[in-house]
Amino acid sequence: MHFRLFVCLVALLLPTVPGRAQLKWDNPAQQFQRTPADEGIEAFYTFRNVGKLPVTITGLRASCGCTTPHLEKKTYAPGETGTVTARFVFGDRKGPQHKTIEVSTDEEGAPPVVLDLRVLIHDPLSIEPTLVYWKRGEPGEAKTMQLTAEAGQPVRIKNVISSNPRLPAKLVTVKAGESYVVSVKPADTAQKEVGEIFVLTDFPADAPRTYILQARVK
Amino acid sequence: MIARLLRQLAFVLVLALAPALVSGAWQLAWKKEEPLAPGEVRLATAREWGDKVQWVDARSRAKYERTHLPGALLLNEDEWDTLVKPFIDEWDSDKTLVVYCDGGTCDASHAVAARIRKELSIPDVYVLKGGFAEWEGK
Amino acid sequence: MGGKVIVIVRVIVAGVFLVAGVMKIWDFEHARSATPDFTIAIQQYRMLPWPDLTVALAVYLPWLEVTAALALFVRRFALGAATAVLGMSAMFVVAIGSAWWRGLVLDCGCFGKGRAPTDLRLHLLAGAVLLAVAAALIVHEWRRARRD
Repeated sequence: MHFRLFVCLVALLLPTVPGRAQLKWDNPAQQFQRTPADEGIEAFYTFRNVGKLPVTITGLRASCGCTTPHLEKKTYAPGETGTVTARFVFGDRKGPQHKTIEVSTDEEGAPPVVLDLRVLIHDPLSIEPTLVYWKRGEPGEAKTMQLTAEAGQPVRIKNVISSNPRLPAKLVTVKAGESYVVSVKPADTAQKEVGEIFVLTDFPADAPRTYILQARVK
Repeated sequence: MIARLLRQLAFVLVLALAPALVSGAWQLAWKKEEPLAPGEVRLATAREWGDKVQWVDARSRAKYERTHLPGALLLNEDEWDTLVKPFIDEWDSDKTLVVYCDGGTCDASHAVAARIRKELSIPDVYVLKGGFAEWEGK
Repeated sequence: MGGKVIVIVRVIVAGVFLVAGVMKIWDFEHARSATPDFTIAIQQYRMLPWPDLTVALAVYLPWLEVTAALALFVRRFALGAATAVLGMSAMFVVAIGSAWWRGLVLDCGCFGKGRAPTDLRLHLLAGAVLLAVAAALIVHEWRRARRD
């Protein structure tokens, strides 16, 4: 935490260090909003060598294996501009993401620049939790999962189906298109049970998505 | 009487402060171990939990397949949706989950631990301080 | 009769707190400071959001236990010490109770580092007993101080 704070401070203070950093970044902190369907994003960080000497970029290090930084060439003459491209592959990530890319140069005494990439990946339907479980012998009370559609984008739940009749699931509509509850109540908790609960939606219209939730007696 | 009680209590509290300050200062000077962030656990502690620990590997599949901690389950954000079902099947609800990534500044372990806590509502989750590097360095 | 009982009670309570305090200060088995382990023990309750405060508490609390245990035998401070004991017992009950309520599995850290998760209900009971005994000690010291 302290390290990250330190990195942020360095990033903030860097432009104020006179005569040191020769690379001037146009937009070192960038923010985006995407959906999981976008699968990834490319961010471009342009810079210009405002110093009097050529600068060589000696290293690019991303905070996450999911983010790949790329550079056309390494050495930039005074006045020359360049671009660091960061490709962030979402995988199955959701919610706010914060990745950083550390750029080191051959400039003496200049600390690495930290480029900042923030992406909010919003799912049309957020589900919490996606797992309900009981320990064996625990009272078999009903447990619930909340399904919430993103504001302004109604998602209707057509049906919920449980793969295991001993873990039946019930759909409760709190507000159609906006908020639902899936409630699971085990027949009993005497033995181990494995169940998958399929949530059939109407979104997107051309290829409606099915979400899979998990229920277990452990 | 109440005043006397409070006076005595204050005296006891202050008296205890003296050795505590000495001990605190001595330990601060003595070892500069990095403090734990919330939800983190040191390797030594996790080791002492022994069989109660279920390691969770938050690194990439390639790294996991090359090598991982004994009995570790793979669960990363790249393939969360495919990995989560086998993870839940293997998971023993009596064990404490300890998530790790490469070490150093990697934050995948924190992200995975947060999702386990939030999305799977499994509360007993820690992040290994220093990650895989800490394990290998041993 | 009351006098003898109170002496025994005081010795037991002081003994418990003294041992608990010392074992949280020094790990005799590994011949090292027990503060890091106690810090982790406190963290596991997930009640204090500030790491620095957790460390400060891990350093201070054991010394308070030791000081209060010893001060129980000093006439001039016995009332204050008993109050400190009551306070610490209450803190213990609240911490254990909330851990139990939230379904946490943890080592209570009562006597330095334990090896196995604590049976929280048993500790809750012990905490309640400590609380009652501390209250009795306060009442006793209060009466005695009034007589003096």
